[in-house]
Amino acid sequence: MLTETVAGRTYDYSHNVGRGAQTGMGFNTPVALTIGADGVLYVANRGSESISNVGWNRTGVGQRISKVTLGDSWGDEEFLGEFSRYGNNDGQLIWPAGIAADNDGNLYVADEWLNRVSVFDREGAYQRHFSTLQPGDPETNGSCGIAISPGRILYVTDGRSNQVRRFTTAGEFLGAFGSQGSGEGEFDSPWGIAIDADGFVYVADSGNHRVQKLTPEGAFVAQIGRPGNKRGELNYPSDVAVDPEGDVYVCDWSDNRWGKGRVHIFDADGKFLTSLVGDAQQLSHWAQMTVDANADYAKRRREVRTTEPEWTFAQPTAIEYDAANGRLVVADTQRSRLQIYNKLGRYMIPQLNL
Amino acid sequence: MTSTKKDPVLVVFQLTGGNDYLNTVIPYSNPLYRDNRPVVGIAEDRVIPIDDKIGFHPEMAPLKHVYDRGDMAIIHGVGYANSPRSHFRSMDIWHTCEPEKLGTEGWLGRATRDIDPNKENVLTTVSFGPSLFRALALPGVPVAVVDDLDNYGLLPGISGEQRTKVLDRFARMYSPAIGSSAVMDYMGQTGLDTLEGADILKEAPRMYSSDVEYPDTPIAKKLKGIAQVHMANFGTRIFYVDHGSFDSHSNQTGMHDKLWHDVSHGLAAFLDDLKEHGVDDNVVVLAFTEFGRRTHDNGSGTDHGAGGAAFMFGSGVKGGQYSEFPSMAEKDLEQGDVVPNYDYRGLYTTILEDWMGLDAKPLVGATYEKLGMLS
Amino acid sequence: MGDQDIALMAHLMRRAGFGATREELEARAAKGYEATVEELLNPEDQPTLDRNEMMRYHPWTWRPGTLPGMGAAEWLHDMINTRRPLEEKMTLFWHGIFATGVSKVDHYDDVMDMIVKFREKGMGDFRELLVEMAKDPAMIYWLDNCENHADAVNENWGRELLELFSMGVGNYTEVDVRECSRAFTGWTIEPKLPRGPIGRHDWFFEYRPEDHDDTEKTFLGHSGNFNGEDIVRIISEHPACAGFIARHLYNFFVADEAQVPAWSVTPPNDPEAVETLANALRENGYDMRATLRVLFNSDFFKNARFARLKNPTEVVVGTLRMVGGAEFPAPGIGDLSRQPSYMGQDLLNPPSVEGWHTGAEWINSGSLMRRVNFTAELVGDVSRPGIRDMVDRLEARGVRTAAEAVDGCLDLMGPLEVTGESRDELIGFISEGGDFAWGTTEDVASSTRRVSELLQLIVSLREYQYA
Repeated sequence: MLTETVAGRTYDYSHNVGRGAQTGMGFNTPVALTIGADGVLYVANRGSESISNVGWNRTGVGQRISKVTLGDSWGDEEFLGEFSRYGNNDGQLIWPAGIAADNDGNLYVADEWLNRVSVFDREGAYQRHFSTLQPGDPETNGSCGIAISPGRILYVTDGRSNQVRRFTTAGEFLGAFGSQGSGEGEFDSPWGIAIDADGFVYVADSGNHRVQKLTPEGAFVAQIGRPGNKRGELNYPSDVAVDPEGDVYVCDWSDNRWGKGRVHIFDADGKFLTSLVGDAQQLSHWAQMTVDANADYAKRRREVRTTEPEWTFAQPTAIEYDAANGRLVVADTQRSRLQIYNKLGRYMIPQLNL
Repeated sequence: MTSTKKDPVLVVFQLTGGNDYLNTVIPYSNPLYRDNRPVVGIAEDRVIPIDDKIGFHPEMAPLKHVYDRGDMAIIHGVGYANSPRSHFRSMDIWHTCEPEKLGTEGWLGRATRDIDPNKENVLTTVSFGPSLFRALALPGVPVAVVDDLDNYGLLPGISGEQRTKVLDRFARMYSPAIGSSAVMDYMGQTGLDTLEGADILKEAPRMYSSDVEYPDTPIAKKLKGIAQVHMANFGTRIFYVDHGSFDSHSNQTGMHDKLWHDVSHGLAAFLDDLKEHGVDDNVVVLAFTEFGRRTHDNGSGTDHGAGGAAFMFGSGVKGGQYSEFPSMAEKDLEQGDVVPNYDYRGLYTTILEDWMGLDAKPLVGATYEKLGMLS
Repeated sequence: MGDQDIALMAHLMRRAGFGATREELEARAAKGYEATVEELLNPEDQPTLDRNEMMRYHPWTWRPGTLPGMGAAEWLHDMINTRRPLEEKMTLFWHGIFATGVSKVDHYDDVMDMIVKFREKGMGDFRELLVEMAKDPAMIYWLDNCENHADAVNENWGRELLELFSMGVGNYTEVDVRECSRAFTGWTIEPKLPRGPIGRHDWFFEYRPEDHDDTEKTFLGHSGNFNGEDIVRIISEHPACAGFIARHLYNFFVADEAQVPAWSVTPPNDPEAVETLANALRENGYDMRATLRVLFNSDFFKNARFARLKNPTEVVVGTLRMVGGAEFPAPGIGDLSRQPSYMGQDLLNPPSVEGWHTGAEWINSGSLMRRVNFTAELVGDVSRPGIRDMVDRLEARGVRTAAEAVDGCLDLMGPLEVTGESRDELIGFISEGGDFAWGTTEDVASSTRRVSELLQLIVSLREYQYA
């Protein structure tokens, strides 16, 4: 369904942006998103290892931060550029996993292999990085999700040591909360993180199949969603977003079933409202350019019985609410694209007997 | 005693990933080129003209110099019918000469067997890469596979004096006296061959000196390794090397520029090096790729296509253009690609017969029309 | 428990799995041989690996397309870390028989779908697996059954089904090939969305009754309006079928055999053993689990220690299981997954439908150097937990002389059996450094370094290439 109306809200599919690309105009397994101070969208591309069965490049391809604007409709998107690449030198990335922007437009990119946060300015110029590991920590923590609070505190989830750490934007460690477990305030492979206007923290507690809402200091407030495979239940949630009205959006891998990824929507009280399944019935502008350049692709697309397998989310891994434009942006990771939904407050439902 | 006639040597340079023909040998005056390449097209004033129709990619200046001295041949429209547009499959087809079915034997594996039927030289064929290219594969035919000439050998993790001791023990442990079965004997001989090949090869860099400076790139390093082994006179007749990836689906402009920059400068240095040492007259280089790319760009790069260009280099090559540039007219395209008009096995036949002095038909499977660049 | 129990357990684990650490061998030996065989035969009692971890850290392994480093990465990681070693070993066994590759299919994902089927069905009824393969999209494309039409028969699948997947040359006629192929007309693939620009799509089997030759066929002496399932049933009732699979089992699990193309003219090394396995298949309705039980509990298996050469996957996976440290799918897994290919076994991309030639044919100078250097680098890395454990055990045993060190290392790495001459060379090498000492930190560091060198020399022995 392109339009979903529930409890006074309407989620109306807008368009999608992107195509698979190791560099340039497109994405490569996008796993994190953030909207910069000037409305530009930054996309962290996870990429892959090894490009070919030869020896000159056995490292990474596709890892980078893409800068794009989404536009209002099909064909309006713009590719603005990209920065960073695979590696462990300054300004490089091995496993980009999270990205956040501060009010000045600086970007903070969490790398879950290097256990560090790299900082870039809005143009992508490398500024500095800091390790998320503290003295006495195990060798690795897998820092992945990252968000910035209204009070400019950086919150970083540790996918492998099951904590949430707090830092100043300069990288000074302020403390951590959480530990391995399934109880309140405990985590199992946490990943995506979001912070609302009041400073409450929402963590996609991936291995516990739930989202936890916590106070800024890490005290448990509420659980959103419960484990399971039924409608509205969570199975490997990867990211979370909150809109100004308090609605909570959860990206979910749905038991890793291909093409069955979901975005679950809950109200501020944690009540399940509905799910989005992905609605990319039309190829993006960039993807269409590829088809146009490949005559046999175009032919085959006319021979298949349906294009439905490509509409849905496959392993959606990041979600952002674009408050300035009142819309949701979902990183449809395995499809290397973003699906965009407008949230409409005033929507007139057509007559049933049409 | 020196022989006046030196054995011919072939260097095969594989441009892995599908090099974009139309942006390498550019039909710059053809309006269809502009129409089809709105994004990745190369401006006319950047093209290095060869004639009034075509020109080289702007990064190929060093090779234009080679072309101008008559040591470079361009072979247009090379390929075969019904391109599968698959890296794996197409490379296999080039390697095995079997477009219709899966082949397991490489054309150069067969050539190696014919050159050295009694396996007298463990270095008749030397491949620079991490694994054996299928072009070189033929059961029972030894090929030296060198990932990195500077660190080539057994047990590179042990260094210094200990290394000598360890390799000495290795040789003794692999000696025939210890064999207790046919398989143990076979492994023993293979181990000793391996050790011998490594012993010989590691001498090559030490025996070499040159005024030619190679660029500091991975491909130049491999080409320099080939020059070193060639100049060491180990009797190597076939060298194999690859570079890439030419798989320019996206952001083609910068990527393709860099690739041809590195290839052009590396190859030019290699050819100069051989010339400076007076060992160039018995070496030719064949550069090929598994397929060309789509005629029309995709807004950022180009996808897998069909017909491509091959190149030959060396003072034994009659420079110039061979075969025809395929038509880019819409009506002549197949699945959106320019159609190959010269069978790659004809090119192989030309090299095997006119250069290597071998009977090509059993190696490539049939009789094909030859080109004249080596006769 | 005796040394012989450990040696036999090590043998079982090398063959029915990819080897094991000394700690695991001791625990299994304590449980007993037959109990361990039962545990291996019932993989569903053991947990599966957490797939989520691989998908999270290497999302490309989900639909690897044509990226070689990503194609076999997940499978290799599974083989290294599985708690169900026989399940993975059988998967490798079937992959070598139903050899299908990206060289033609061009999508790693589709070949990996076969691997998943081998994992799920590889220890069940062979006849079901055959039908499953006949319906597998990658197989259908690989052997052109999508070109096999009621009015234009393509015999590729029909022929290989008889020649390479079930009976072997000499047990059927050209007419049987034709009739078999006719029965599989209409078994094809649903058109799927093309790759790109947004990734790959699943491929599905499709039966098209309108393209099926719905008339009488005569196959292996039976007549009727056969469809594909009937063909599989008739094949399975033919005496050659069980013998053919039995010989494959013998070659893969027991001892190196002649290669498949020679089977019609070369009798088995051990006809009695092959017949025992063939009978087990017949008596148990082609149940692989029951057949493997007979195999692993037989004397011919127990007496076949070091009677076959390791395939490259066994070299890579076996060594990694022994040295440890590959539990987390760290960056570099792409390069790691290419290692078997550098030794001649490009997983998911066999050279042809015949699969890989095994035994001595694995060995040439390039592959031997790769085997030696890859394994030496791993056993030379004393930070690996498995190597640290060996050093600790040698220290705890109070190893002092060169002979004790050599025997200790050979024991802990297998136990490995080597010729007396090889042992003498190892002792000769290590004795140059005098006796081992463990008293001070410096002693331990020096002894550790020497053990690491000794281990590197041991894995470069020809004997280490045997399983």
